[in-house]
Amino acid sequence: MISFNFKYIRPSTVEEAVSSYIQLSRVYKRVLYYSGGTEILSFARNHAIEADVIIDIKAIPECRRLQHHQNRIIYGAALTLNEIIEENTLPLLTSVFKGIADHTLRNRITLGGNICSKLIYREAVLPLMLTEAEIRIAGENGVRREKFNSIFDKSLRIEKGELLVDVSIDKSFEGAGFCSIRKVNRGEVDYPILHLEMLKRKGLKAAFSGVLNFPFRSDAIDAVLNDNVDIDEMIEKIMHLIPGKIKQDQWATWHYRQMLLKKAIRSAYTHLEVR
Amino acid sequence: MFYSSIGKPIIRKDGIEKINGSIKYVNDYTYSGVLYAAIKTSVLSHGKIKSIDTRKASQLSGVRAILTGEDYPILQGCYLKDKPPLAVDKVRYYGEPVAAVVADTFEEAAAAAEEIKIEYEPLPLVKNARDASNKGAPLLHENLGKYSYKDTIQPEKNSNIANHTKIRKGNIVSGFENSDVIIEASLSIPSGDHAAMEPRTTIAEIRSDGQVVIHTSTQTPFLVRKLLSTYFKIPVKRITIIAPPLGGGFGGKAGIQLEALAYLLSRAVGGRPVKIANTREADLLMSAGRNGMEATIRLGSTLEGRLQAAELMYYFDCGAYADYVVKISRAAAIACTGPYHIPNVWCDSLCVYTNKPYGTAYRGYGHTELTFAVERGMDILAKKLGMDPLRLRLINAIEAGDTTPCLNTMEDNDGNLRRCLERAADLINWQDGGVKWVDEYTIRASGISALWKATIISLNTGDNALVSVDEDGSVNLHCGVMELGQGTKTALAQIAAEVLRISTDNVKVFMPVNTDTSPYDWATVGSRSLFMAGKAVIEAAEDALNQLLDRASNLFKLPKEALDYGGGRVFVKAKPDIYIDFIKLAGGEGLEGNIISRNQIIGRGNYKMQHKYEIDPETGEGRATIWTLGAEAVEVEVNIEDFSFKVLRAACVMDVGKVINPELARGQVVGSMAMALGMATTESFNFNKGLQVLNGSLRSYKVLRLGEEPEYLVEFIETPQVDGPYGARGLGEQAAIGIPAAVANALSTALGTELNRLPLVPEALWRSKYPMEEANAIGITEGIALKLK
Repeated sequence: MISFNFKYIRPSTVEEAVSSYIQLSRVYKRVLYYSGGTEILSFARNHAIEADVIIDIKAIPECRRLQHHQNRIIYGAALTLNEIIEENTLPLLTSVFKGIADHTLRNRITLGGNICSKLIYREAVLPLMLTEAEIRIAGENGVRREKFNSIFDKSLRIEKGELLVDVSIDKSFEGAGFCSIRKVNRGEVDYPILHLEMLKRKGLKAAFSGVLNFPFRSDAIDAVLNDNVDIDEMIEKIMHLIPGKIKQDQWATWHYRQMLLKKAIRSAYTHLEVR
Repeated sequence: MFYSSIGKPIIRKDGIEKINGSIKYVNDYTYSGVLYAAIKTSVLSHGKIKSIDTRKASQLSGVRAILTGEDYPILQGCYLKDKPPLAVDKVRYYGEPVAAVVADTFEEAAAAAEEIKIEYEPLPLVKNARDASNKGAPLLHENLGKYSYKDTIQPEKNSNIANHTKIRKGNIVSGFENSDVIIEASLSIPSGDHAAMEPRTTIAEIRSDGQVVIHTSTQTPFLVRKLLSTYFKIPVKRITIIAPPLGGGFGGKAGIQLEALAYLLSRAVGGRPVKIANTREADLLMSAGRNGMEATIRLGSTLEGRLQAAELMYYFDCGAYADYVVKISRAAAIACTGPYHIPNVWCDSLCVYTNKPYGTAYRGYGHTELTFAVERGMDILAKKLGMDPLRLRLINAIEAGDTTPCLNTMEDNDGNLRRCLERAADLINWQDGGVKWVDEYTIRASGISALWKATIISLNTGDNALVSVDEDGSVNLHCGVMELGQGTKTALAQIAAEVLRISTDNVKVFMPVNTDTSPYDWATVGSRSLFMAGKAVIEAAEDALNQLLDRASNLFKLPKEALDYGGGRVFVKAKPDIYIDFIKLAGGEGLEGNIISRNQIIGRGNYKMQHKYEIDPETGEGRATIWTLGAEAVEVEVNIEDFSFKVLRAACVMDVGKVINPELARGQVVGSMAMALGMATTESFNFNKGLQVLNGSLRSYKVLRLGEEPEYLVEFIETPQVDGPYGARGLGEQAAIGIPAAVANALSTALGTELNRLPLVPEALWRSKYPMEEANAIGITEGIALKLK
């Protein structure tokens, strides 16, 4: 049960959503954009989130489109993961999204919701980090376009009231080789204790989730991957470049995560180098 | 023309309603004027309550009453009265109810509960059962010595020990002296939860005529009535318990759950109906779950593998309150060796308080825990002896003439354990217990476990049944057994149909139990309903049948011996074409067209537990009850890169005496196996340093998912139980017992390590290969617990 009362708004344009946010923020303290709601509902149940106003973006056509435009594919922020999986536009996206939660939840979880998740995993960002994705953000002064990697640092760095409208990826990534390695505490369905995505296109690139308190990639790690050194040495070098202390929680100790991480890098690297 | 139902896969009587979702559980009952309760629970695991401020909460809209522990400081408990409905003076676990609000809507009650301010003073935490049992450990219950309890348990005052059961069989010293090989092992099982699909719910009201009417999700409506009568000094006749079928019980809905608190809340609002419906989180954290256990065992055997001695130390971790776990620790002592003949046994089985969510009865009733300890020990011993673990078990398997730890002699009709072991091994292609490499990174291995379970039932417990014959010749079967999903009522209908030689279609059963109208039933627990109620149903059906035969005998002017019956009629043995239908005998339709009004035929049947069960407090010597024997085996596949694994196949072979309904029996067995696989591989409460539960929701408390299950191979052996209904004995819980041990044995074999801690998550497997420092091994990690209301 959600024990607080809130205003529910369902705008039909991006402009209306943003202006509602700005206006209502003057009156109410906590205003949230809402799409799939899986996180808002479960967090609200546990008193981990409260809101005075919820702005549902699912009725905004711009946030709901999946469109090929020139050489890019555009994914609206309010598309569900399953809608994107079913279209199977990019194998990398399909592979990553299939690992997130379970089928029933993926009917609700949206691309934008996962990117902006309060949880530490945000696995939907991994393919975006590796494919030079661009995103469009709507704010008080209209819509701006940004390179995903320049605006995502641990989390999406956008201003209060700004709305993630869509994401676009160059079609040429369709044929790129990649390797997904995702480990959980037990079973098939769970948050990852390690998620490595490695992509091969003009060299190797890697992105990680579940290892630290945020998903990450780094130029330095990618440089080592393409350095042609001995594989053991490469793995040790990468370990030193992980931007933080490896996580330890109820699902895994840092020792175990580190062991899995090393093995994952080795097998992804070997897999992609042979191809 | 004669119907026979026994051994047939009759479709369960509640099947259609369950499948289409129209069956009514307690929370589906609505009536006008009902008020709703929300419960404020403790955020500390051990703390003194300094103050409770309800001023702001009581002024909120819709709030009718707020109760705290001081308002009615009674103590409740089935065997040991140690638990107040709301905490008094101190809290002992994270999630303990401290205050309750009644309001017009649940939303209002919950909002008010959030505004109750409680100040605590933290007390030292008691984290594990082994330490808790030591002298000098901080006490959870300072007044344990003053609590009232039933004399079948033995609490130790000024300690955290709520029960201590001793078994002293033979001479343990000479037993180990006669042993060529001795092994020792320490083991642990974490606490967890039943995670029944239906969260516990109670609606209590005190009607204007004074009648206390309680709708509740319980396995034990008659026990709830008795306990409420005792706690609140209400005459039994003034209490009505209505218990609709349950969405799963597993022991977690036995005894008192929410009923006493709901009654107090109704009283606080002038008797208006008050509903407490647990949220999933409350059901996991606030209400009772599954106990944990630690153990240290020593086994001694000859070089030939004959067991000589077993020294067994069991610490049952009941959490903050003892509930049924005092009896679980006793049951585990009575069955402490597993189904093996061991001449010299020394067992101390303790029930120990810790500052964890409290445990209660759980499918297996302590047997899964002791079996995990003993069966891991058997594999360790087999390894040391260089012997096939299956062979070691076959050598020591208990058989007729052998004695149990309580010095009862096993009899021929107790079942055939060797056949169970051999069949279970065959089903998974047991090959000397070795390992098989599938590829460079993948190993397969098998594990096996024997099992037994005693039906630990007190003397003077019993069951009753009524069989009434309607004017169409069909039969109504009335009994007080609860339907929890186990399908007992369908099996009982089959038994009544068998006696009367009619179709089960012509036997009606009623799923809800009402203590005013249902015949008395002791409790639907302990895998004994089919046995006990089955006996009562046979007697009731036979009584009804005799009345039918009497009427026919009068009509035909023939002695009963000259008559036979079947297919809904009584006929003359010598001339079967001379007959009369049950319909006519029952009075529904007159002979040759004349309506004859007759008294309704009502058959009565009773069964009283005749297997006495008392043991000597110093030696454990006593008389036993009914044992079910069986064996389980699994095949696992382990990836040695990341230590993930799958249970490929799981076999269960039990000697159940007689299978009444093969589909229901298989359902019960597979359900038990799945539940135990969850316990073995995924389920545990995870705690932070403050002993707050980190995974108190189904998002993070991991039960087995569909698709994670193995292929189930189930077989039954039928050595009839001489006094069982059609030779049947209990099978509801038994298949849970051997699975964790079998899985741990298989994985230990695969990896060449000893896996003695549950749950067996991949990291635990890896850690067994690469041990680490204590801090990581005790499973207590940093983390933020759920915010509770």
